[in-house]
Amino acid sequence: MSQTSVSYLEYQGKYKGILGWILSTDHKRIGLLYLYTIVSFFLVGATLGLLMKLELIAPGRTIMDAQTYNAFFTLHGITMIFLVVIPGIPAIFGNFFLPIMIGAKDVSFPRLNLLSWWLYVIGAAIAISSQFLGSGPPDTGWTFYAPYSLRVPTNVLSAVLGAFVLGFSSILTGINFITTMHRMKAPGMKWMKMPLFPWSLYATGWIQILATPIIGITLLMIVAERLFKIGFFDPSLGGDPLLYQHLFWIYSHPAVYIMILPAMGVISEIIPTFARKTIFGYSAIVISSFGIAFIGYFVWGHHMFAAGMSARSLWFFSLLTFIVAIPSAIKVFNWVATLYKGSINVQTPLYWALSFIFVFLIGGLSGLFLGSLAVDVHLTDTAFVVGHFHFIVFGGMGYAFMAAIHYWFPKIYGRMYDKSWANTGWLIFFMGFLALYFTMFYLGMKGQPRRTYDYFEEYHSGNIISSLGAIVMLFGLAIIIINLVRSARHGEKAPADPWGGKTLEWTIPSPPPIENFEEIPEITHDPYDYK
Amino acid sequence: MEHTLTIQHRDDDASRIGMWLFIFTELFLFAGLFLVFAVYRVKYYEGFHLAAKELNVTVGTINSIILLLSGMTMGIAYLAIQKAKNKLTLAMLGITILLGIIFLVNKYFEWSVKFEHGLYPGSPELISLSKGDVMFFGLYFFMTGLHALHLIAGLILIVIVFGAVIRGRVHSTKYALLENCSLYWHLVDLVWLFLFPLFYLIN
Amino acid sequence: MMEPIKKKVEGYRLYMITFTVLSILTLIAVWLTHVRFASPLVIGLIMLIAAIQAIIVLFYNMHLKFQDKILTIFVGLIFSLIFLLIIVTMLDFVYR
Ligand SMILES: [Cu+2]
Repeated sequence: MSQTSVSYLEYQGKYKGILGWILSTDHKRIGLLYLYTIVSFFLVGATLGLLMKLELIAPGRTIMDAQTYNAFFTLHGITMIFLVVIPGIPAIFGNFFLPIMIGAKDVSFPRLNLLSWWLYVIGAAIAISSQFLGSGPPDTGWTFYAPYSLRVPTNVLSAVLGAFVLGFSSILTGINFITTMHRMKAPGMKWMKMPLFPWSLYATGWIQILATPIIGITLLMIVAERLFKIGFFDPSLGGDPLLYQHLFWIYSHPAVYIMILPAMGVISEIIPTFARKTIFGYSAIVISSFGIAFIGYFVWGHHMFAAGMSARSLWFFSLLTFIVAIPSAIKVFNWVATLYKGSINVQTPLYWALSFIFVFLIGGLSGLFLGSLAVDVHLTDTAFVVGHFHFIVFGGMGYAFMAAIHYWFPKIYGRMYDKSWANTGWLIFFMGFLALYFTMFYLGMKGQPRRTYDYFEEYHSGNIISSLGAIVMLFGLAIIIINLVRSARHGEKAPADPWGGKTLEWTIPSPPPIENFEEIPEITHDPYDYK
Repeated sequence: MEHTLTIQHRDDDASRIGMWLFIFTELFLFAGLFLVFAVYRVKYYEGFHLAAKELNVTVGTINSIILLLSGMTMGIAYLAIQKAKNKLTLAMLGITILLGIIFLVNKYFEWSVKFEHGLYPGSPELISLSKGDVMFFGLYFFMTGLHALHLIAGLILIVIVFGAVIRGRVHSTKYALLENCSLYWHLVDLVWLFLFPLFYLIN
Repeated sequence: MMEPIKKKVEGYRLYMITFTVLSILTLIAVWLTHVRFASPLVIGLIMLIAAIQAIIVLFYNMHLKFQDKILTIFVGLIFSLIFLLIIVTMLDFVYR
């Protein structure tokens, strides 16, 4: 047997055992390294989330005090945002499938790719160390708002430095992907013949390169403030705390698109496969990605409507926030139009994709409430905001992640999972999710503030529903994870193309051989070439 | 088998594109600081005006010229390697390193004068001055400091390239490393082109 | 897109010329500070000179001129984006 047809899972290179993984420059192995680390951190974040919901099941102190609660929502935010959601889809599925989908043997800079993962691990270690070193876990929230973050004695410094290193890892991934798409597309693959998941990674890569350095420098300024008392954001020295919020959100709003664009890319792959129909409006989907990326760069101020910006900024940011909803809506129309008159094959990935559209729609529309100036005054810093961004971030990126893992699982491991357990897990998860976050809209409109461990009695019944929803959701999650872990070892062998997909990853064996392709394919047709 | 398992084909264009993308990132890193500068210059118009007079324009100008000169030697090194003139390349890289070090030495003396006058972040003297002064010198130290760090990174890169030329790893048909190093060095140059007028000249 | 560069090894003189031009521009900028014009005009001129210098460095020292056009477009977009970023933020600080 020739060496090249060995699957990447069994290949024996220079290093053996665990070293063959953590020192591997193979994009597929790096993708799996990310998968295991990111899922571990997700479980940590989810546990913190569950504990917070248990605290909120009754008013007053239930299982933890205020300071612990503050530390928990800070760590929950840092873990989920920087360690899970931002790298999630690009680093796992992007690494694994981008080269395969464009017909390449690897990314342009394989060693840089490995370095990105190492930086990710180092950044994560520094961020987590903030919990145990120095003077107590940080309690600033993941936003590190100044001047509080400049003055609290808690261990803000290592959390900030960790986030800085993680940003660096994200930038390097973006550089690698963009270069790969410029240089390594298979012969015949014109830009407009590239599948939509790579396209979404291309737009994401640009945001990673152009927005992440802003948070990098901002975090460095926080470090300098704490160490040298420079006063950039300290009003007593002439600094302006609102400037911190500007700089922070110049990155952190586009970061939402770093999370959601690859998620949309995944959905754009899954829908045509299971509708057995060419995607409707290919170029509209491509262009809208760039519309989102560009307009999304100029809406950051909607996080500061109640902070005291100038009136002109207020209407500018509100207007653009409404405009940025349009390209997202275009994508939703395209997905629905693709399903129309398709011969739909209902499978687990499609359940996730359809529920993605549902929750993403609710998340997006609730965002318009927050984007309108007058309503936002009422809703700022309430549970409504928490509900909104969990619908977008968890409902968006999280559901697309689940869709992606169930879609590509047979390709990654060469084995199929138990479909009925997967569907059961999805249903329980989905029900729990709605109970958990939908009630937050109601509670927020009634006025329950976010980031507090206590509340008035009038919010009690809503919180009980929400907390029970969290328990149900995690029960569904447990079913999903157990099913996948079992199937990765013992599932039945999967064929090369279990779903009838048309993109390149389905033309090679499952699991893929170490070099992906025996011969680099010639591309002659469009990516979603169904009759 | 003719298949090689480690993917080794060289793609100089890819590495150039990667370097440019990295330069874009670096530009945005400094853009964040220029943004902060713009905000506080509007807010403390008078204070910045007066504080800027504390800086020594002569030293700043000399440093500008030094950096521009090093850009020239770097460029010549880049051409010389393509013409297989390794000695000239090494000489030019050496001069570039030297010029970079002179820049840093000048910067060191400039900074230490400020420290003697108590014009550094957190010093009691600076805090007793106006808020415009505090902000000006805060930005001055942070921005020129970050620029100096980039310059040091560039110097380390040049030293590495220097070694690679000696050991024959970089030569007339394989010079992507030198080219990227030169791009990075010019980025350092580019940032200084804006730092210099903003801090030294506009008052 | 991003085809290999048009190979054209220019002479050493190119770098000497750019160095001379850049230095002269720097000296002009320094000299301008001693001239008693209306100050906004001087500031505008100095920033204009910096912009010209940046363009020279980008196009000649960093060889943009000899590369694929798409890279030039990218660089143009990057600088416009930085410019827009500053303008949009200023919308708050100037009118607050
Ligand atoms: Cu936002």
